[in-house]
Amino acid sequence: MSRYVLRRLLLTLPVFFGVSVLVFLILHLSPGDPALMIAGADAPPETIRAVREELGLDRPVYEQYASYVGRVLHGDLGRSVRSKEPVSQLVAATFPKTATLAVAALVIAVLVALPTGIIAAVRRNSWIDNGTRLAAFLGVSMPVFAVGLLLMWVLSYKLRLLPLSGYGGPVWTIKGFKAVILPAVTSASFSIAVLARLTRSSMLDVIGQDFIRTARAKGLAERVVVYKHALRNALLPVITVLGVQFGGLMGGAVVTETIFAWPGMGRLALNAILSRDFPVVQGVVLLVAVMFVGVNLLVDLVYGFVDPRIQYD
Amino acid sequence: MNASVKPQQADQAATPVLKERSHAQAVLHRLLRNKAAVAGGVVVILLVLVALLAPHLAPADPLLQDVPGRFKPPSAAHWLGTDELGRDILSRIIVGSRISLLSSIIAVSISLTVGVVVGLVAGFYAKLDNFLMRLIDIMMAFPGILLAIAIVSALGPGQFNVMIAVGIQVVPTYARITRSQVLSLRSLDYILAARSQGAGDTRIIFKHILPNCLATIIVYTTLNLASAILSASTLSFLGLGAPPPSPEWGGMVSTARQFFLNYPNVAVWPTLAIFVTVLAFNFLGDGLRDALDPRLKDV
Repeated sequence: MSRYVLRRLLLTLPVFFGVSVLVFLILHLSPGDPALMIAGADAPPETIRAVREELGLDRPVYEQYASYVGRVLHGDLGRSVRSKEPVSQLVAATFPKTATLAVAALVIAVLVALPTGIIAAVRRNSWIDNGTRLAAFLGVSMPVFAVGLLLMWVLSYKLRLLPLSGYGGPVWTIKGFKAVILPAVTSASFSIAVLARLTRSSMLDVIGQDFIRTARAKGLAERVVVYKHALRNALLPVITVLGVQFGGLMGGAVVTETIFAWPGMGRLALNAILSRDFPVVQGVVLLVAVMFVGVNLLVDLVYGFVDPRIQYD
Repeated sequence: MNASVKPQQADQAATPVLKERSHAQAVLHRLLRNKAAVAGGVVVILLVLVALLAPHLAPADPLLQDVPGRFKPPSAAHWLGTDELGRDILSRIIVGSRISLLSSIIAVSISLTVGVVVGLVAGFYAKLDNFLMRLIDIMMAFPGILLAIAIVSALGPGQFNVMIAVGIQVVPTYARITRSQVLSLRSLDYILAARSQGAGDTRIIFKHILPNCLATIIVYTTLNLASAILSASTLSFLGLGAPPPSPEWGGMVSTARQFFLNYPNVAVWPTLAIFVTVLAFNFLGDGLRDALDPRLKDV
């Protein structure tokens, strides 16, 4: 087991290295002089020179990369070239809001998708099954922004049940809870469709296996067969995909946050892209990617413990 | 009575029933029996025709402004109404279909070319496999649309950069699928036979392995076109794609969002266009997958 954990950890190192190189290159792949882009085309030469020195652009690329990694490892993500605030502070202020949204969306997705997928598989080819499959198709085909705008128009504008947009404070307050519902459901829509389809197909796969036939032949109640024997095994692939979905929710939050004026990392990154504020873009992209790799590592390790069939060598 | 039929006659009587269909015929037969896939295919063909004939089909100039006539609801003059500058929404959607379809085709072509080559090489040459797959892992470390966003931020906003970004985002899908196909084919007897006859690596890869991966690649291309349209329209919605007044569907929704609560009509039509297009590609891709491999029907 420890060999499996060690091997999985070692495999993550080149990924972290690659991610850092790619994020570092965001600035250097841009066509034209980054210092000129940041300072503005009509900036005086001394300003451009100052920006170039501030970002270390006057040094060789490998030196810049080494100093970038060194700074990042010390928690220094650089400074916003627009607001001059440290990127780590900007990210720290917005991260909890994006994480709240992602966790809420994941909870909604699991609560809706798992029961739906299970029922669809157990009652295969019934109207529930056909309805679930159709809804899942519609869910993966609908742009997230369309779901958000539709929910906003119906629930906030027409029925006035929920606030139109904005952050309402911590989720445990009534205002905060109400404010998070629409953005979270919007973010969850795609994950619900993916997870429901996966749960259904995974359940169908397990239900067709011999050990389920044996369980039924022993005379166990159908409820026990489905929820004790089948579900436990069917959930294994679902756990893996949950990690991917959580990453997708963190990385894709930019759309939901833009629609609902949610002050998270996604909006921070988008505004930074539009104003060519590279250090902020790099900070957000790096943090989300590293978190995503970390979550997937954790999921794999948990998977290794939960499923003894995983090869440890 | 039946017992008196001679074996030879019985064989002859059974021949028409047992007549074997070719693989292609069987796939087509299964595809045509899938109503959703047929509907998806019809919509895709119609969309391609609309895109090709767009200048002739559009009832008005998609860029022609008529500010006094803005936010008009659907009428005989403007079937889908007018937008915030009085432009005909139907004409903009028709002409915009060119941008949306072409962008996704170019994006998928980029990912298809790069991804399939990487997958073929990784699957065939065990020595390169680990290295190439680690590169793919790095690309997959950026969840959802984040990789595309990072690329657009480096290259700068614009429709062409969106195509490149979406194209690169989809590369890992092709690479992994092609690689897994190659791995399953590499050790089969017919490859060994080709090698024993003196066939070189290039010939084996392109003549014997690639054609056997094509079915899977076609299925994923159809499904990837759907996700490329979604990603490209999302990037445009965020203001990173074609700048106004270009009638790109995602960009149209982005502009319409400002007036959305009072004039939902302006945002609804381009959204529907994206939705129907993506749904059609998804239905077709899913049907193709079931038709090519019926065992995957419930996956």
